[in-house]
Amino acid sequence: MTASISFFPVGNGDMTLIKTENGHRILIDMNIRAAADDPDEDTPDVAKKLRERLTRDSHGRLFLDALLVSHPDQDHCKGLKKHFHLGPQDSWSKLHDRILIREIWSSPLVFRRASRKHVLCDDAKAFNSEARRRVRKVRESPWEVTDGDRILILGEDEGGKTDDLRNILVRVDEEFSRVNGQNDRSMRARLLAPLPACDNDDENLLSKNNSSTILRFSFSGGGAGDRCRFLSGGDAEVAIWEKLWDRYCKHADFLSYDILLCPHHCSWHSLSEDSWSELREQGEVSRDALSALSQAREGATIVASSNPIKDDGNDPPCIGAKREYEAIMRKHQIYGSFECVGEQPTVRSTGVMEFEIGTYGSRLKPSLMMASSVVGSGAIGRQALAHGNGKS
Amino acid sequence: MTRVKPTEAIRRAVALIAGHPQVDWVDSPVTDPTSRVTSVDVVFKVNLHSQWKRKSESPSGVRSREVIRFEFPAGYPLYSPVPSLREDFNRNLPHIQPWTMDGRPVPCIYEGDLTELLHRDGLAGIINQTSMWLEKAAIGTLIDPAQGWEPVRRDRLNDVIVADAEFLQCLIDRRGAYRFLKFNYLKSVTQGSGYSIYGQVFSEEVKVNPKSVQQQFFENNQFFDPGLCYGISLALIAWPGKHPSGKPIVCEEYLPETVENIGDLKGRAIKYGCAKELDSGLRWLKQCVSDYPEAGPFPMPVIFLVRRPFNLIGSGSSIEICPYIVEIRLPDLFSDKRADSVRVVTHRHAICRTLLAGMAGMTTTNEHLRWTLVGAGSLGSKIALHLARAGNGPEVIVDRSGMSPHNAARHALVPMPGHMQIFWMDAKARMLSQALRGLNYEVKATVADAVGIAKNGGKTQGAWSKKSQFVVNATASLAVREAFAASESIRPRVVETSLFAGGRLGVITVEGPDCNPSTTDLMVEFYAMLTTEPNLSSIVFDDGTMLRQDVGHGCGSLTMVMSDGRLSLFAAGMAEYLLNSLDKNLPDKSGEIVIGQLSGDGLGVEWRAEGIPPVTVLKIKNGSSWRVHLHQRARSKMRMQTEHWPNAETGGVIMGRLSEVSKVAHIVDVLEAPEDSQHSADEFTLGKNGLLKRFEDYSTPVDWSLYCLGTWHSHLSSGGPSSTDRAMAKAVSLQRLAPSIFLIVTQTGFEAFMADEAYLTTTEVDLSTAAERTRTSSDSTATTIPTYKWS
Repeated sequence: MTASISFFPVGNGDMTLIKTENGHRILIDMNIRAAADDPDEDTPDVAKKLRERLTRDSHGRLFLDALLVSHPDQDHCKGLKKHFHLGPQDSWSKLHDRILIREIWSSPLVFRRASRKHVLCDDAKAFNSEARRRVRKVRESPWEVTDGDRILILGEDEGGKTDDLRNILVRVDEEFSRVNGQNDRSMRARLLAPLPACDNDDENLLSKNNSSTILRFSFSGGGAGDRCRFLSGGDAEVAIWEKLWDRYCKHADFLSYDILLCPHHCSWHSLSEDSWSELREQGEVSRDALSALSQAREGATIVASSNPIKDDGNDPPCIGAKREYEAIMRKHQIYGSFECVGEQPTVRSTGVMEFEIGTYGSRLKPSLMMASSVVGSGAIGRQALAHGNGKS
Repeated sequence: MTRVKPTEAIRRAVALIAGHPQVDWVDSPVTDPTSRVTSVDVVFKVNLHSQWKRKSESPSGVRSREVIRFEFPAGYPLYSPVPSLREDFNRNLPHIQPWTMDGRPVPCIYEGDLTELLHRDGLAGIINQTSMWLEKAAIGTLIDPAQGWEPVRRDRLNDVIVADAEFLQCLIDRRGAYRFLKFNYLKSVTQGSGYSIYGQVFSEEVKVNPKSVQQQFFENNQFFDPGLCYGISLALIAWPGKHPSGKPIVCEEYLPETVENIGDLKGRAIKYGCAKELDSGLRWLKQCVSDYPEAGPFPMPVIFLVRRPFNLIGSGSSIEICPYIVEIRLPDLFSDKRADSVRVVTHRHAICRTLLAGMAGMTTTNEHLRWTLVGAGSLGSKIALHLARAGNGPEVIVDRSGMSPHNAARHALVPMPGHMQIFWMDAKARMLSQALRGLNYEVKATVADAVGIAKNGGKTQGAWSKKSQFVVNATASLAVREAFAASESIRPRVVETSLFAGGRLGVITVEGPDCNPSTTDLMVEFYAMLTTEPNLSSIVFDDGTMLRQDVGHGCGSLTMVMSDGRLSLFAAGMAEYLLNSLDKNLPDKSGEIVIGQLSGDGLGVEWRAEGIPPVTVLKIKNGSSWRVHLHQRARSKMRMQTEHWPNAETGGVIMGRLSEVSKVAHIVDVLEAPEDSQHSADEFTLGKNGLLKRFEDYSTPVDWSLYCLGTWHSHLSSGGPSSTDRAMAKAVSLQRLAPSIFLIVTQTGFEAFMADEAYLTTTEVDLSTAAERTRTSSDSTATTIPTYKWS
């Protein structure tokens, strides 16, 4: 099976589906807006596009092998309750036909209570509740945990809340290949963040964005290992990238990528403490953060999962950040490209941006022109061919 | 040069191309003022793998930006634009046409005609296909092993040779060799001194030697058309052997078709691993013709059979056929420089079963499934041709009748014109088998009485064999049907095809395994089905549809009047059913009845199938040679009745028909006992209230094809007929001319015995109990229904 990484057009939000060469499907975040579910709206129906890329199990249930919600913000978990089955798999109903999540990958944030500073949307609350149900099941009857009950906690929580979850805990710096309880030799993932909290961390560092899960995947392609490295940064902001550079500057390979999902939808705040709208180019770019995000391998692609990027004061997406990423390509002679999901294949008609992973690395799948999007030629639109057609 | 403004359609096309997501840039269109052809250069983005981006080029030489020139003909948008690649594009890729446009290679972006693609998918379809072609060329997937090896593109060449690919592919062996095959051709002289060849390589080896070789070359330009020559020549077939290691030589390299002269041809033979074989063949030919006077040139196909690493697309073989035509002259073959050129030719499959089956979408196996057609009339001939055109022609055709002028109205064959029409009188079987030879079938024609063959076992007369899958009875003959059913020899299952009611209804009956249910059982079942479908029964038994049609002065034929088209509507459906059966076998546990009904507007036929379970065959207990075929419908009803009366005897009237030829009583249905019947533990008395009307109500709609056969009753014990039962049978036998059947249902099964005047001549019982005599049929199988007590 050809491995692939698909970025769904969800505006300023993330929704990334990974298909490993061994056939596991892992979704990172979702932002299925109400307009995307409305057939009368132009917003791409990403739920439908996701379902088209999944398979059904022997009970006829569409399923994901794993779902990672990088952090519990709306633009990373919107649509969870509506489109995904939550609760024990026995309660799945054909009528609703929701997607079964065999395993959840969660940050330890789920153990924190909602508060004024930790506000959760309905979908985030539902995610937390489901994650806690699974953790409870693991704690109470670990031998009965099957598809639909599994969970991995990515990172240790403060106060020793995760100390008893050793079997389902992945610590920072650890590499794992396990997907839904099975070893997948075609994938390795290294957990880079959330970093364990330090006593001197300020409130900003404990915010949801900065508690984002950061994973660096390495995928096989064409049967060969490590053909594509994918760095998924959630909404982590500049302080986290600085910390990561501080931690990994001597192991920069841990941060290297062939595809980078640029953090926080191409936000300036992933690179700078300053305000883009106020200072524009005068704002100072953090050298360390930039270094952390500059570990591109030859031919790499930097992907912004955002609305179209315009030359204005908007942030995110931020034209300044895009320029910095393009500068990375030039400066390090990467021969790569910067692509914005909201502009692919065209700004007027966006589709799923899909990378195939083969022996020679990753490759953006070309986009075709749909007949329905064509207006003009005298010979447009599909029509049926009749018997005997084709010869004259 | 005068600048010509592009047409509105071209300007629109350019705008559309520019909007394609994989198009980077579109140059201004340039229109040739003479030809009105407009060229548009388009730069396509090609998405390369990350490791190739530094070079901006894939290992196959495709760049991240490729310029494609689209040439829009003057007739655009009626005709499609044609894409071409840059001149230095790597031609060693598959899916590149064997010609160029001003030196620019032409990609084969679509299997079919580009103009058809334009009208199916629009210009976007052409641009999409071009983009996908470039992507595949870049990543090296123009040949996909999962799909198969793509043979070198050879379509749209002027020269064509027809050859049986399977035969050629079977020639190849591990040693490597050459063969000469017979070649016939038509040479069509085109404008100037050019010509094109259309020829056929026959699956017939020619032993070339110095004595006979000259007879192998001949050309006559005195043909129908002065621009047309007919000739015979040889085809040289060469294939590679094996490596010293013993492994067969396989050519894994895709080579574009660039052969232009003998030198190129020999170079290509080296690449394919058959240079030695080609050389040996040519050397031997030259040696053989060395003493002959000058003659020629003669076109001679040279065909390389090339081993590929995996099967060709859509083929079960990995052998690619690479044909060329060289011009040879006697006695030196190629000594004349004029004859140095080599023509690249298109291969077309010869008419063969595989080609026909493939065109019909059938599974093409080497095994020819065998079947026999009995009845080569209009329906049979059409079914035979439909199946033959799908690669499954009959093995034997049986029909004793000769063709007559009126048969031209609906028979699948068409008479020859003028004085040749005299031949439209031969036997139908012979004429049809002759026609099927044109489709490359060897069909045995048996001009004989189908009734005799069916009854006496066709095996002895070669009408079928052990390997035959089935026999199709398209005779519409009741006698043939009866003869098949009466046949005691082992025979294939009979599939009977019939038309009724002037082509308003068609029926296919399919015998079950071991001919149970038999062809007559199935027809009885069909009649029983009609008892509940008055709309159908009224047209099936409408005698007005069979007319004596005037076919000459004082000469008529009893036939069904209908148009050829209507007959074909049914013949096509029947042929499709048989085709499906040949592909997936006949029902393996039952028989089947398939009924096709003409739609209200007369334009179509709706078919429905019903499985018919085997009948229970019972021997008549009282010494008769007759048998009873107990159909499931009747069995089920009897079971329901006996379950309703668990502690008392019960019974009723059995319906069906008799077959005197087979000596079979078909019990297909049961009428419930009248209300005045009496049930007790040791006796059942059949009542009579309303019975007569029920007989009529049952039998009249189906025109008395089904009628009362006798009665049945149950015994609570497992014992057979009592002495009273036997006595009653004798009594009843005297009351009607046809045999009557008495069926006893016991706890362990059924027992049948018969009351038949022909067997029983004495009266040993009191006839007073057989009080009622009711004539229920006007035909010879008049039935008398007694009312009596069973003990």
